[in-house]
Amino acid sequence: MELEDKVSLVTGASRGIGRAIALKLASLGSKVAINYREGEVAANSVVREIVSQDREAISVKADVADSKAVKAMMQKVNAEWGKIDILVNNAGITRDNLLLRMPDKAWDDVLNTNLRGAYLCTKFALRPMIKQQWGRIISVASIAGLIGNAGQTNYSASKAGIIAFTKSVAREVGSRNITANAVAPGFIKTQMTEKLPDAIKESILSMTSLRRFGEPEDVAEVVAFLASDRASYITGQVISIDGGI
Amino acid sequence: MSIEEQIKEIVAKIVHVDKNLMTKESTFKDIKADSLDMVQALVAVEDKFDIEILDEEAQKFQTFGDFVDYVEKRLAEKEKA
Repeated sequence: MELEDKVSLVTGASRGIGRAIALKLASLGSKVAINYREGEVAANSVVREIVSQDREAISVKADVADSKAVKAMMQKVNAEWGKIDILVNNAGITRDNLLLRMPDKAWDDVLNTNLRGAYLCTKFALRPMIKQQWGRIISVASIAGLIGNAGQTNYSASKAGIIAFTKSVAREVGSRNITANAVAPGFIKTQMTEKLPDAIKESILSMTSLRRFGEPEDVAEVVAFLASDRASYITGQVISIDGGI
Repeated sequence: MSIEEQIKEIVAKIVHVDKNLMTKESTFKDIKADSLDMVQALVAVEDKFDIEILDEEAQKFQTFGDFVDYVEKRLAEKEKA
């Protein structure tokens, strides 16, 4: 098993891409902590799915934008398994609106969950990683953070922030055998993208070389690769998983 | 083992330096500790002694002795509390 004896924490893992990542890491042998903020039932069903395959998993409730909650989450994972090897910063929200109509709260909420969340989780997870001189930080960015997207100034700014954050983290802790990378999904079929208007979906499809939307598992595959020893010489990179946009 | 010896062991291991070459007068420059080594040592010492080392205090450490003195002070305070 490629990730046997590894401990992973996936934020926002109760559904969508996070769920697929958690299931994939578990299938490779990792113990997985499923973080969620509100979806307790969904998070527990991910845990059950993993446990039914004879792997270990726990669910941990925490708002990733809340420093105290993140600290408590890390302590819980540490108490359960004694370390954290792989952190997947996946928790993210959207509050779409054209900039001229954007409420301040929509800006703040998105930046807090998406960017501050990645900052806090990474900060606390680095502690055990530095000690053990092995770690993987993988953050879920977005194509919106690379090329921008009308109606998503807040979301795209948070995702571009994650990319720059990842590159800096990679430089800070590379000497301790810790890698930091980001993945940038294009249009992936999840509840988050389901609510987009059909016209937008059509226009994304027409830009996508492969002429189809991606599945959460497409992203999970790349995250699992980056988490493995096969990717040990890759750091500070952003890998697009977008069907060719 | 004294607190000084315990901290010396932690730092020596992180910086890859012979602990017998370290004295309380050694500066972090002397033992070629970079900023990340320092952070790693602070974290390891915090965990070992279950204390919190404030960043603004840590920035004042010039020598290994400053570090040891600070940890001893915090441990004494902890004892009292």
